[in-house]
Amino acid sequence: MNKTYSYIQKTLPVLFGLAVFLFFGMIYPYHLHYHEQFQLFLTTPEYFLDTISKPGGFADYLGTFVTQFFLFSWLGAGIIAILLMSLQWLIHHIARKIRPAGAWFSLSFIPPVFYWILLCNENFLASGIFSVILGLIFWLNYFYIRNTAARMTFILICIPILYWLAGGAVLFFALGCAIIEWSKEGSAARKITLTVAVTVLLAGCFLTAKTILPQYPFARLVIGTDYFRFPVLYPSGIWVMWLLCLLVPLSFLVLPSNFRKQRTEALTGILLSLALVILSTYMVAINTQKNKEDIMAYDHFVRMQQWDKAISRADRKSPSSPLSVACLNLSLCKSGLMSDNMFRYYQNGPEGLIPTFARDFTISMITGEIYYHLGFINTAQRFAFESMESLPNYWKSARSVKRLAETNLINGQYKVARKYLVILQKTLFYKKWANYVMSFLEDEEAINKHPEWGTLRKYRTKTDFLDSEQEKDMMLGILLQQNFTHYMAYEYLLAYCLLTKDLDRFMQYYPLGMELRYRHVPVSYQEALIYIWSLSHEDPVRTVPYPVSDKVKQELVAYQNIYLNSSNPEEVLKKNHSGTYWYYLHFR
Amino acid sequence: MAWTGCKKGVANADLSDTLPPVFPDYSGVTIPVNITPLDFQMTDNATKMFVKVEGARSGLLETGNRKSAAFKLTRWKKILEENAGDSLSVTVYAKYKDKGWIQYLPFTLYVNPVPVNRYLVYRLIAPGYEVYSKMGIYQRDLSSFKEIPLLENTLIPGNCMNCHSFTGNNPDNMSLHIRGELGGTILKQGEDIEILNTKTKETIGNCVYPYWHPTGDYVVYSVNKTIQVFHAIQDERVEVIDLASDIVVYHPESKKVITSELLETNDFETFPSFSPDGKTLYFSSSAFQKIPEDYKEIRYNLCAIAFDPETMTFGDHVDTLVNAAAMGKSISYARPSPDGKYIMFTLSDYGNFSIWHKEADLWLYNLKDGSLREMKEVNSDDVESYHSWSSEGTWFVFSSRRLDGLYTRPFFACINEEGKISKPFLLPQKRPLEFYNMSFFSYNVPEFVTGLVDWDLKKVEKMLTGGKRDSIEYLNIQNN
Repeated sequence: MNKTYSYIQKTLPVLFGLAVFLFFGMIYPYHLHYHEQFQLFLTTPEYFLDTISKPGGFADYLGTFVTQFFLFSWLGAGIIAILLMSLQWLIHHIARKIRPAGAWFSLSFIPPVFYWILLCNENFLASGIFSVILGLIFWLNYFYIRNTAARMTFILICIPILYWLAGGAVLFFALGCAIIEWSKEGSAARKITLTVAVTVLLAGCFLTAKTILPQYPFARLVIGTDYFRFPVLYPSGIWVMWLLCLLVPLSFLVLPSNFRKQRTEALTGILLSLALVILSTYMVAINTQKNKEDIMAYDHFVRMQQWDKAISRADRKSPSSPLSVACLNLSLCKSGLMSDNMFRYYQNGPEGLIPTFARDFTISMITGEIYYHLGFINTAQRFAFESMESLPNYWKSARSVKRLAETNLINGQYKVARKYLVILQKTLFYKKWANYVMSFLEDEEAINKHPEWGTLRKYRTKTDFLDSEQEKDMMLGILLQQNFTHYMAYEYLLAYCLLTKDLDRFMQYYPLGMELRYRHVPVSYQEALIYIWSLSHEDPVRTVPYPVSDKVKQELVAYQNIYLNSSNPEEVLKKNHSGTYWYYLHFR
Repeated sequence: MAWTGCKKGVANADLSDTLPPVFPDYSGVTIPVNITPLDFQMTDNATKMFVKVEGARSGLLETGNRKSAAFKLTRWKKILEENAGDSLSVTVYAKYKDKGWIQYLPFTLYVNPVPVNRYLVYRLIAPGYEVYSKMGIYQRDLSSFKEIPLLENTLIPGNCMNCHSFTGNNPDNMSLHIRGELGGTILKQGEDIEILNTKTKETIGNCVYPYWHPTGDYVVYSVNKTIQVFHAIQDERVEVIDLASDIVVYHPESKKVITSELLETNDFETFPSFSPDGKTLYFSSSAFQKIPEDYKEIRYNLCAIAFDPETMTFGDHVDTLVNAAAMGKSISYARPSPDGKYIMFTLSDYGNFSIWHKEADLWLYNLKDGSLREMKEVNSDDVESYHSWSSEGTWFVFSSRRLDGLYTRPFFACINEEGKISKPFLLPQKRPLEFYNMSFFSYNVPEFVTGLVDWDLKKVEKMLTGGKRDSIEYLNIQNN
């Protein structure tokens, strides 16, 4: 039993790290990419000085520094695993310094597991982990000082330093040290003096920060580090985390450390470990937001232009949120599969084709991708800008800046494109790309020959019009009329009509695709054409004048039979005909 | 000193017959005697630079390092004072890996003995569309590099602020709008601060685009119903259009807005300002057009109406000073000079939100003889838009997008008694190339003030977050 427990004590931290690594590497990789795209870490001294100019800024700097590596999900998963393991190691060692009690070893996993749960929410940032770790490092060092006066001095000196480095984490450090001092033998006067000094110093730190930085609300200065993406919100998770960092080690003051039998100690330890593993697994599982991970995955595939991966993912499980569906539709269109296959997947109306603008960083970012590939370069630029400006923590976005550089390059706005490229040259992972794009500036021929930018230059509008969220079909129509070989504009235009069930406009726009020379009329168009024909003609299968395949005709007959004769056609048709346009038309 | 080693090299420098490739372009500019050092940087691949500044009367400054020409403030001040009314000659030496040291042709800085107002207040905001991130109102000491935030939206997250205005460059009186959840108009008069809800049931919107009466007893605003639309074509971005707009004058003492039927018509009236004597109200006015169909047909003329501050009444007619519509053009931001000689305005092809109009330029209307002139000396191929006068009437500042076509930067120039205008210079910064390249902010609404705007920020924060907003009353003079 003792051996088993000893083995558990040695392996549990490693297993914990491995679990975190696998979780973020396999289950949550796109959350990591999501974090990376909504920040812009610059390797300039000015960025460093600006970031550390507020309490907790150093933790923010470290957090944003590591987050740039989240561009590579396994690397990001490894970083988070190391950080959470460090957190556990620190808690464990602080607890041991307070009182060695092997049975309660696994309690040291509570704070890191709690932070893991927090990180399941995409708005909790890596900076917070650094804030907590810095607080714990300071607290652990406190235990190595034997001399009382030196210890007191250490506490009082560390409070302002730690506050500036890690923000509110200073609270559990200061409280923890003060409580430990109270638990030691010594004069009450000294303890009272220390407590008063700590309280005054903490208050002094917060008030001084408000005096130096009057442009921040007081509460934000107390928390300091950007734990959460929305600085106006102060989620209780932050306070609970601090409390756990304080209470878990301090609990060793009161928990029994000597068991009569070693076997009992080992058994307690094993049972506690087991209970915590089960509880942690359960808590992580219920806090895992697979639906958000799904959207982030589709967004990532679109960002990286991995169209086949988006389609494969949809083949495994058809997406249902408008943003995921919009990404899938873009992937299908870029792969030349949209008009044949889009109704094989769940469609949720025009919002799943081109989502409506919202003052939101995620929606704008994704929708901007669609506009970009369609050749609405100004709109794509606007959405990239709006996405970045929507970030509630006022950060900048590397992905947005990249898109701003691209769209300005395509539009021939070279001076401002250069500005964005110069900024990206100050990053670790976008520098190479920025250097590459720099060589295109002012080189019209090179841009026109570029497979992506050159094509988009051909696609973009030659005449001006005003964007209209309410008339996306008109916008697509204008683009198409200027270039009848712009297949994406044509397919989006017709898809828009099909999704809005505007069959009159579908018939009006359908002939515009003549120049695209399809090898066959796309399946969804065939389904729409024969359906429209059937509304005004008897025996449409025989009389339909459009090139509708026999397979579609047969399927229509089967569909009609069930639709007309079944008491619950929606359910019955779902099995074999849910991938048809007719099913969408009738039941979506 | 760091550059003593350079001196040996520059003695043997090869002579170039061109001006040095530096940023910002300061060659031939006129600067006020109290301006902060004009630090600059090489824009090419020079590995070192050395700069010699010689006063036409006296004084010599030497500086240089690898990154920038950075001048010591005290020495810079001294050489400017010694050469006020004369000029400085700036010689740049640059070292290149392949060419060694090169001595470029010297350029001249003319020192105007008239000091500019010491502070410049502006808004820093990303040149976005509908959404805004971090922004703030800042005051920059033009005699140093110090920039002090007046109000940032870190204090009131998610809110926007704009349209700061002062009584004739006096920092004691200020009007400032907050938009968003904590919206309201902050009115500062001395140490008194109040936050107003400027929407009345009779007016079409909140008060915007303020201009103080020279006595400080009134603030004229326009009330606008505005929309933003977005262009699809590559060279255009945004259009800000008024669906309706009128002009009202606010009297802080009585908390009343007054207006005239002549300022509250079906036409569009906007961007008001008072003459230096306070007896005339200038504004832009356009005939009504259907929006958005005919937005390109909106053309504003420069108009004027008499205003009597004693009786709080308006004249019985509106004069059209400049019929821009007849020229196929449109006028915004009429700003009379403090001496009453000129009105400076922005001329664009249509509409009033000229910052998004590449063709927008500054023009000058001579109030004495009614003549008009384009300010070619300061205009560029890109946007010139908002502008304001320093209190002595010699210096003015204006917004321009000439550097990169998007990010608005403040430029300064002066006009002499004969109406001659100097070549403008960019707001000086330390290591300006990096500064402007790396900045995500535009400088909006640059306004001079003679001193630092001093207010109790804690009180402002409390008032803003407290939510209380004082209402104002509406009074149509002609109807009473």
